[in-house]
Amino acid sequence: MMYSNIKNIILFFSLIVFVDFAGGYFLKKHFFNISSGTYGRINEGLKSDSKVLILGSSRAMHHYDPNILSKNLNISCYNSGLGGHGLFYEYAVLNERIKNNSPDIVILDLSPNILIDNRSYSKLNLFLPYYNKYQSFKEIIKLDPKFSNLELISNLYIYNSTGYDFIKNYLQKSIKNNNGYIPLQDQVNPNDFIPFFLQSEKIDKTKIDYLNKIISLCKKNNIKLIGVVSPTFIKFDRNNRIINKLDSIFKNHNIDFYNYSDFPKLYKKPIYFRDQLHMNRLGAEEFSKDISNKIN
Amino acid sequence: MLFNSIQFIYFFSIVLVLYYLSPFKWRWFVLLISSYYFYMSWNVNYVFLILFTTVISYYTAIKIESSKSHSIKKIYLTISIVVSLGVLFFYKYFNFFGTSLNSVFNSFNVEQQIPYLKVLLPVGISFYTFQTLSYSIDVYKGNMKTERHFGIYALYVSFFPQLVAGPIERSTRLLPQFRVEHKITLSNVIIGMKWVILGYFMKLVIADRLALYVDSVYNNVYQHSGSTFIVATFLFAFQIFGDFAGYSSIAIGIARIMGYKLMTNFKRPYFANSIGDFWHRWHISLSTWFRDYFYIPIGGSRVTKPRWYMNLFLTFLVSGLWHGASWTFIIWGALHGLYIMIENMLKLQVIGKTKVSFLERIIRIFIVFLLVDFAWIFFRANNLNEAFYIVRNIANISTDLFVDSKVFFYGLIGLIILFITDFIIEKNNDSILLNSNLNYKTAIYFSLLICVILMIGVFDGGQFIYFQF
Repeated sequence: MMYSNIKNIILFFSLIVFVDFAGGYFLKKHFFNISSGTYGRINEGLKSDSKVLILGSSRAMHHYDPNILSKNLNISCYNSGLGGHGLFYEYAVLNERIKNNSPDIVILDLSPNILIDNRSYSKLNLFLPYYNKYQSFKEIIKLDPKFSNLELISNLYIYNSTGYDFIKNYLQKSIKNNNGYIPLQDQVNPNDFIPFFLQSEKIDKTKIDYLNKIISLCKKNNIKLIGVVSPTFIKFDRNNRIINKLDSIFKNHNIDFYNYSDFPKLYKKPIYFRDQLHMNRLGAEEFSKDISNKIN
Repeated sequence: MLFNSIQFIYFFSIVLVLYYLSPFKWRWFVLLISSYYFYMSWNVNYVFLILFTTVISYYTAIKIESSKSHSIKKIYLTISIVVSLGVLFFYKYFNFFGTSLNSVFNSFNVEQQIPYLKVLLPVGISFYTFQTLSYSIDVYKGNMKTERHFGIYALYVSFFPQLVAGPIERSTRLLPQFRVEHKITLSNVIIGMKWVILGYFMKLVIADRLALYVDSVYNNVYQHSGSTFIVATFLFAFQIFGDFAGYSSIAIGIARIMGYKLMTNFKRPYFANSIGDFWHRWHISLSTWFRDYFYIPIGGSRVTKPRWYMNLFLTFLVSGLWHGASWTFIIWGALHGLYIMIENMLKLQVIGKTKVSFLERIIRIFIVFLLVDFAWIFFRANNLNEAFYIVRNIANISTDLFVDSKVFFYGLIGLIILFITDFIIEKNNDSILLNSNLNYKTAIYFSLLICVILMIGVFDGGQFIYFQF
């Protein structure tokens, strides 16, 4: 009886270790080949060898057309913007790109709420599949205290809830052709538009640290960094509290910083916007032309 | 400290080591300190409340037992019941009755207003109050000798595996277990671990996944419509089952690892043949408590038929109120009372292994599920207005269904595994999967279950629903 129990306990633990190891190995082998959907964006962005790298959140993803920038600057360009994620993700991607195919120019799109938006902590679990492969992702995941070393030992856990993305991503159209750019089609309706504004939320010191880390990385690797607040339909940061803070950080480092939040060519013109913070394709094309001329 | 937190895993590992390293005569002390620490991790101040209830029920029980006169025994029992229920009423029901009475006053233009108290509901108060009540009543009835060791009695009230959400243990069953030395045995560890793994599966894979959809619908009812309400209410039936049965399963498992046997609280309730059968399978420790300490004392079935139906209805009505100080819970209880009354009037009740044809069983299971699920609308809705809004609009299925593909995908995988597991246990019994040593089949099953939890469990889902009761 005792012998049978011990034999089955060994079987029980061996199976967990085996399935965890084999499953983790299988998922790792296939995960980084995903080329569409959210994980596809991240994977392709990490593999890209473009000379111009665009980083930022959904505003970067929808506002910069790499084809226009490539044409005007005459160098390759890739848009690695990712909706709902800010400086932590941008730092991790830049760090990994520098290790493999370092860009020459980085355009860092800064949302007007970039230093206060706390959502980015709770969303760090999105990057768990990159935990074992990329040191920079390991670093940012650790910023969320809910992850303990105990669960991160598991090879399967880091792919938690990715099965659906596996299936969906394989069924979705690849984003390769647009070099990461996702244009928006609709137009804001000024009649049922309710603006929202930045309140008095505290600035997150960790985010300033990560912005400084990005700046240091670029300086150390001779990468030309450009900080940009891309256009808004109606200004979100009405008193320029965050924008002024960003401006002073960039000025301290002698780095170009462009505030387009009330860019006269597009500001308050519904034809160029999908909502208060996102331009549509028309707006993105106009803006991409302008910013590429400025960089040139 | 939640069972589904890393802190609890560390806490339990330390308690387990201390427990087995301690000499038998000090083990009650290790468990008592651990239980109080566990409770204090929610609210330090409320530990005095549980201590107060413990002291009162401890001393009144001794007085009940030592008193010769029946009337004095009765006085001490009354003191015990009034104090325990008084504390429960003050913290849980005062504001509910106050606001309800204020509404009545307002409608009669009476200026008198009952003040609203800013008190936080102590976690698990309904559970440990019922445990102390059953102890006092059992001592009064002579079914139980008093526990003279205050520490052991305090441990019975606060035993951490079942302190905050049950099972509601009986003194006759749990107290003697604290007097017996439990040696660490492989068998207990294996059985306990199996219950714990199954509990985590139910909580993390079923309950917390489905909650993502259910909460988004029930917390924004006016943005949704019929077909979405049907899906959300269907999923809530499994969310609450996964949540509560999951908690009970983990509680049974961790107690078993230390050698203690807690009562089974759930027996595959959605395989029930009748509403009566459902209550023999759902929250068994509560339904048997109400049977023994409320339903039978008010007459049970040994009365006239109309009175019997009234007793059944009243029992479920009070059970609804036990769940929460809100009209939604009272209606939920009343609905079950109504179901059981009608079932008994029409002699439709079938319980346990009573033979019915396969087709009849399927039809019965389906109808019982529909009735129970309909009542869940009131249980889950944030208030009465929203509950009635859902009831009024649930049949309007022509409108768009709110789809959350991820929840549906992972939820379906979880429900299929749950169905297969429950089906196997239902066809055989608990011992085939849970209350037995490990064989190669169960070793494979539970190791794969852990991998499923790692792959599709929701690890930041939050607390258990029944903590609010």
